[in-house]
Amino acid sequence: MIRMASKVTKTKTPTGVELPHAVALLIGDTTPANVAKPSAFAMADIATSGGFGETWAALAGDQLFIVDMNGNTPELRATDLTGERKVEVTIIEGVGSSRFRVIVDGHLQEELRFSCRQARRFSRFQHRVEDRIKGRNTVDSDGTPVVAPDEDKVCNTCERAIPDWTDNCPHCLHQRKIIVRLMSYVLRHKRLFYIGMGAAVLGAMLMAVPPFLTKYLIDDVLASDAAHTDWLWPLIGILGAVIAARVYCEYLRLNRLAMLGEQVAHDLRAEAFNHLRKLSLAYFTRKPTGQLVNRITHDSDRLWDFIAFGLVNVTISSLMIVIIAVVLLAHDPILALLTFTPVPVGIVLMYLHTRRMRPMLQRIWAKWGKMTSVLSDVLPGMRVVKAFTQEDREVHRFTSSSKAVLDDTEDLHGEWTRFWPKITLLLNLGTLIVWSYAGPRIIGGEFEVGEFVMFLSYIWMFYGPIEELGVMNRVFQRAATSAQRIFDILDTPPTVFTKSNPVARPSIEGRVRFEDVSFTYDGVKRVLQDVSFEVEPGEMIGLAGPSGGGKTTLVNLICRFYDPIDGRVFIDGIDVRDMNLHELRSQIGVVLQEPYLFAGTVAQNIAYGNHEADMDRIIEAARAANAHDFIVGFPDGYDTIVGERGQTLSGGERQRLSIARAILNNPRVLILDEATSSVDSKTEMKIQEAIDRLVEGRTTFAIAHRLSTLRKADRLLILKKGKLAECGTHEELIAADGVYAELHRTQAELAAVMAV
Amino acid sequence: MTTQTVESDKKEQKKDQPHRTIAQAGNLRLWRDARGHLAALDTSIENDKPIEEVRIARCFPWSQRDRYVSVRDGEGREIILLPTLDEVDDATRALIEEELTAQEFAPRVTAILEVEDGFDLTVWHVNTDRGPFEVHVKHTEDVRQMEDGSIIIKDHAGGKFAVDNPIALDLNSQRLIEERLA
Repeated sequence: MIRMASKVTKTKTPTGVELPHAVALLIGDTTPANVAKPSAFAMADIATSGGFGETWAALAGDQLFIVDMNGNTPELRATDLTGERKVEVTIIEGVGSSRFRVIVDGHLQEELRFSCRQARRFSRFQHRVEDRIKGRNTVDSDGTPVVAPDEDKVCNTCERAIPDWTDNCPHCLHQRKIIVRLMSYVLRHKRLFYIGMGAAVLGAMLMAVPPFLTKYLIDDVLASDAAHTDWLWPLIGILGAVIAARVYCEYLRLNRLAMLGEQVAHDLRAEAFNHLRKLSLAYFTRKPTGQLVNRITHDSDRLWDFIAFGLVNVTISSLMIVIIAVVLLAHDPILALLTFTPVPVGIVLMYLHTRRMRPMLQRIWAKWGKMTSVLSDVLPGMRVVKAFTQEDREVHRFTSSSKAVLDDTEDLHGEWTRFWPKITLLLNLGTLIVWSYAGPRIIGGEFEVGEFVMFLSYIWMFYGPIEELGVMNRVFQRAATSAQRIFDILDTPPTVFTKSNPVARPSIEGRVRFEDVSFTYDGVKRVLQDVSFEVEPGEMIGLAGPSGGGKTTLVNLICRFYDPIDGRVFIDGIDVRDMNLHELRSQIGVVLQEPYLFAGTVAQNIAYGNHEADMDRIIEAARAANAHDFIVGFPDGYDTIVGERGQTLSGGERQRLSIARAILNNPRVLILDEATSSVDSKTEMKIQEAIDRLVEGRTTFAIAHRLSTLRKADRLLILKKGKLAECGTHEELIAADGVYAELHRTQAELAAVMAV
Repeated sequence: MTTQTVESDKKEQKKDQPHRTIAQAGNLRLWRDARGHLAALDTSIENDKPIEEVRIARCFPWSQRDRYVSVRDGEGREIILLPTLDEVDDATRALIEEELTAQEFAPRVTAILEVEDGFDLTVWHVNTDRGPFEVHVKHTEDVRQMEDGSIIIKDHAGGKFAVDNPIALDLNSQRLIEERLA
């Protein structure tokens, strides 16, 4: 079905976020009124010619519409999804461009090309269309949506759509707003702030007093025809008092504001870390650890710098400029204006300077980052470097990245070292102008010496803050960037969180049910697709299948490290999303392939999830985990320090510690992720023994590649390409002669080969 | 337990094709089936059963574009590795090239019009051989120079925009890119 419609003019490069009105109208014309609104859509941004284009795919009612906007007139085609003809929709992934295909009765009907930018939307669209073809309802009987809504993230503050590339609303993170927001942290410590700022302002005002006193000293006390020689000592006394007061103000300012800076930095660090722990695991896989560490340490330190010095310098400098300008103008308007002449030129120079500096600094930052990344790449891999005798190559790699930094700094240092003499010259030019104006007049007796000396002092007090503001511009920008990076963490909404009214379940039985669960990490590729199963309390389930089948993802969903995008996960018949997250996780035990030990003693590590546990229970758990004997074998026993820089433990020992940790925690649901894969067979036996004890009476999900370790499992779930391929006991699956049977055969053959 | 779902899923899942290879590039014959997928035949075998859902991939999409093309089956197993396309017959070569063009999208940047430095994101307004585009760059290291001197600007969504010969760009474009090159 092809239809022509009136010409539509394009206004802007379409983003694919909103369905254009013209397209909606076109679709609306052809569908019954009650289904006129498309429920899902996506935009293909590559035309058949290979250039950027605009073709829309939309789902409205049971119709899949394609609207081609690339020609002079939009072209509309429709495919009936629920008719007699069998419709399939697939996405063929490519390099930078993928294809969305509609196949009707085995014949290619439509092919749309789109770039990476539209991949998420198309993936979502494909699944909506598939749901429609299967006739599955997207809304539960009680009206709650079964599938995640297609809407984009929306900012909580301004209700604008948040773009794909960020977690936060860029609008609300605007630079100026950031400084305002930073101020709200500063104002939490009102006492420090007011004392510090008050002292700073008072100090600035006192600064203006000495030159004024000097004028009186010279003109009225020291001059040959002085009238008030008796003022000498009182004036010196006042001068001394003013200086002392100023020094005290300076001390108060530095002390209070330095402390204030530390307080704010601490608040931000603590708040950022507290927020980080709420974020889902997805966040941590997306952001490199080093970057997060940097944000919390380095950026908060920069903010200290800004609050302790920058903030006050900006205020004081601006204040000083105004005060001095007023004083100068009041004394001698002409001389004052002459003093101001170099200022506009200086400001222009300064502006140009910062503009030239910025890209240079950026480049150096980038090269610096590259250099550090060479280091963090090579140092952990030193063993490999030595084994392949690539030391020279790595030395060269590092030296050349360090040299790259050096080369770029040449430009940078050239720039600022040329700039500052210019400024100094300019400002000195200002004093020369003042000298040439005032000199002849002093000789002519029109102008008093003291007045002139005062003027000169004020001039330097005037130029100083201007220079200061020039420098501050950069400090200000840097602080804003740092603050933004921290606020970026704080503003990332946790995707997995406890609902406001969770169902209380202090002790679960361990019945686990998956209902049409689908999941994706990147929004494009489905790692799990429509997985459904139910597990009885106490049952042991073996999870097997080819790598990348979705086994680890499945257990991640049980722990609720992530929420499924479609379908639901139930524990004891309660949707895990309705449970209290803490309650849920504290009843799930996890033993991983590479257990993580924290810096601390063996005992502390065993009691990691259960700090109150007494020594008896720790030993009991260690015994059950077959760990007691080797622990007591250490010279420091249970007090042995492990973790980074601690006692080195073998893989098997670490494994058994983590089993002891799980036993002590006494979870109702247990997850074993490749718990025995990286150890020798004797150790494996010991671990297996420990695991057998641990599994007793708990719902267990064991992931294993070596199928022999799953022999105790009541049932096996075989995952392949994100789908539940098979499910049943060992015997049933062997009889079914499917994926499992083949895996089993291969491993048996391998074992036989190894035995020879 | 939802044994039924599993059973029906199993029926849907086609029995895996056995892994097959074709020894000689000259014996490879490709065509496009009704569903739009590529299919392959070994011409040295009489009445050969076609290999379905064939995919084409370049081994070195950036550094050795025209050499080492891998022909793969639907399971991602290699049927044949073609060091060059010289030895395959014309129709097959045309199909391989057509498929590669369709699955690749690597616009070449012809000019950089403007670069907006945002807080979290740098927006590059560029002209490419495929039309104008706004490239959204998240990290400074996403604009990098390759060993051969070309520059690749990576979009946050994964798209790559190449500047083959930066020195051939106009001066303003060169300045903009030079300033932000990691």
